[in-house]
Amino acid sequence: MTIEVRNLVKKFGSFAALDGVDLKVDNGELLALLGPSGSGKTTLLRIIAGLDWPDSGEVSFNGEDALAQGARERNVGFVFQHYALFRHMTVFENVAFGLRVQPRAIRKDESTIRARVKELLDLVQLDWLADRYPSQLSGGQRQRIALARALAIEPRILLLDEPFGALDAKVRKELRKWLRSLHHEINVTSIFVTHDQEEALEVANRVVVMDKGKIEQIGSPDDVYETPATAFVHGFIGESIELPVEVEGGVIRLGDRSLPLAAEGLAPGASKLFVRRHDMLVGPPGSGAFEGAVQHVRNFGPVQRAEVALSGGETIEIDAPPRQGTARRRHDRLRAPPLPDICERLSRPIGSNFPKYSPFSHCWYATTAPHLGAPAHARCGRDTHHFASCRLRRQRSAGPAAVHVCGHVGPGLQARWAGGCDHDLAIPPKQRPRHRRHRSRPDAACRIPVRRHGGGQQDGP
Amino acid sequence: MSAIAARRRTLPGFGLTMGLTLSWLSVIILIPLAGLFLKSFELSPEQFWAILSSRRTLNALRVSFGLAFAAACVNLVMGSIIVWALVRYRFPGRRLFDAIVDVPFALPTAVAGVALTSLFAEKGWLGAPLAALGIKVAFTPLGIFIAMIFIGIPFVVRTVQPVLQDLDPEIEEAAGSLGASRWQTIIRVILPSLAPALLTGLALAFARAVGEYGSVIFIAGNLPNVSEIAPLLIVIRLSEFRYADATAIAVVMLVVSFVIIFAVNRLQRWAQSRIPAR
Repeated sequence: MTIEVRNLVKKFGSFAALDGVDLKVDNGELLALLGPSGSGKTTLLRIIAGLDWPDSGEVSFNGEDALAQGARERNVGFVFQHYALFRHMTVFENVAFGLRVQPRAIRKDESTIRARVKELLDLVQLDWLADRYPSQLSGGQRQRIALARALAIEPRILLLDEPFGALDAKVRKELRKWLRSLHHEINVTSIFVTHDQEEALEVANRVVVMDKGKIEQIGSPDDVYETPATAFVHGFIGESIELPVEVEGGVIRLGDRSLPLAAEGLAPGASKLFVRRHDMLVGPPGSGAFEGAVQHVRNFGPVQRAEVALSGGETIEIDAPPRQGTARRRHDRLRAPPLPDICERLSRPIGSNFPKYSPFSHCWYATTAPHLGAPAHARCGRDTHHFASCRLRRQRSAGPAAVHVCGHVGPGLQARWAGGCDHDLAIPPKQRPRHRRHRSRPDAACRIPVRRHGGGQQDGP
Repeated sequence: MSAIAARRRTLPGFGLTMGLTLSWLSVIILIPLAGLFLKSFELSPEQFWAILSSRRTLNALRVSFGLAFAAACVNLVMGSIIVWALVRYRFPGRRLFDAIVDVPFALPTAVAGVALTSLFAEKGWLGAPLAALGIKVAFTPLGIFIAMIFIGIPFVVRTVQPVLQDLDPEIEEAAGSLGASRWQTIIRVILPSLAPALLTGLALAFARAVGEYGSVIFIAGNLPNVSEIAPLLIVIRLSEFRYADATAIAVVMLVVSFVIIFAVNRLQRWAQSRIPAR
């Protein structure tokens, strides 16, 4: 069953819950609608289910108009966040409900219904609870029963509205894995809504990121993490550092410091610079783009997190990856610094004589988005018609960590641009974070060698 | 034992509140009722039986209980519909209608009786067109029935309203998406969830109607054996100084009411047990 949504608009008073949404869901897909609350994801799901109606737009299932049918005729399984089980019925009767209310002409006989319910309870591994009432079950069990109930009608589409939102963290993680394997087993076209990015990235084949009633990006979990299309996606998915920068005369400035980033094609004015925490490292003074002082160092399991006060006044947190095979404990960083060059300095006490370090050995490159106002996605590794993004690809093939830079440029115009960065540190390649995609894509037009080493101050392209 | 038991209780204050409960219930309810029973013991069993089996008493009891039950059933149906409209829809004047439901609670019953009587009298606004159809309301059992409906309606509405408000609309959506028609959703999902509250409302409306006096006597016409209610018969016996007769009828009313309400309560408990608390 394919689902196609075209130009869907839904307003609640003056608030646009959906503002022109287009979406195509392929047969057998497990799609996540991800976004903050109020982004319209639940509204979209409810419209697909027939529980809500759009102000305008189209929804079709396998090419036939779904809006002409009510929820009852659409044959869609819907799982609610708060289960919505029938409290006065046993688990068995809850699951059997959809079969018992079928029109008399197609209703199955009692023994067939019993067999089918038994089969579904086996599928959700809760056959031993058949005679209980919903109030006697745990949250995770209730949600699995709700799922079995939705599957009883052999739905063409399965829709799940924040299915694990009301559950505690541990159960949620278990159910995620379970849902994925269940989907693999039954292979029904499924859409689930979540505000939990981890959940979306872990469970779904494809992720739709929504904000303010609009779709910001559609892509595989890797895509939305590695190559966010917009500033919103970069900020929403994964942990990002956001720095306010100023574009002025072809130079990007952070405070009074100009950054070695290309600003070609960017309109002057205030802009924002995004970078992943783990894509920044601390290096010797004068070796990177920024000057700053390390304030604190903390260990969080596998990463070492440093709080760095930049010379411009902003405080950022960066993650340094650990050295492989070294057991890391809270207090052993002085004895066994996993990355000597970096961590020795990180672990130095803070004092009046504390030198200013340049926290970044990275050099950054910004790609340009020349068509202001146009859909100016300089998508890393995808878009080839910008010179700069070619270079980005070139850099990626050399195996650096990725840095994405997104900006709002000019009043009312949004240009989205992405950047890459190269660095060379004493980290073995397999430890370098996040470059499992875009590995080698040679591109003749972009053979500009941009290998940078931790030592020197870098310039833009 | 009591010292240990008291120490083991997590909630303090059991002794105090239980003592107050018992003494209060005794003073307010049990002692007056016991007095009623004692008074009726002045009669020999034969006299007691003679009073009860007299045609007038039996007819009065039949009118009271029969019409009260019929009125409670009508209230159950109409009250549920009113609750549905008040809870599920937003319309101008909703709060006003919501307040109007309480009027029978607050209005002096005699006022209600007089108003209903003049409305349904042969020349009244509603009485005249009904009389033209050959239906006589005022001064007939039908009038009693209407007065009982009037005073009973808020009990159903007020007991069912909070339960319906708590009923998650999602369960209706769930039923709909599982293929249930609107009618199937109401019968299989909504009504069973509301059953305990509906039964409580029924019991309360019934109890109120059985005991109603003020509004009924104005509209009833009070013809012995036809439109005379048991409470009125008690008052008549009292005014004739036949106190034992009055208490005998009262005791029967009390016992029958108690049995009926107890049965409805058991039914309600049973319905509730199928919907354990969340």
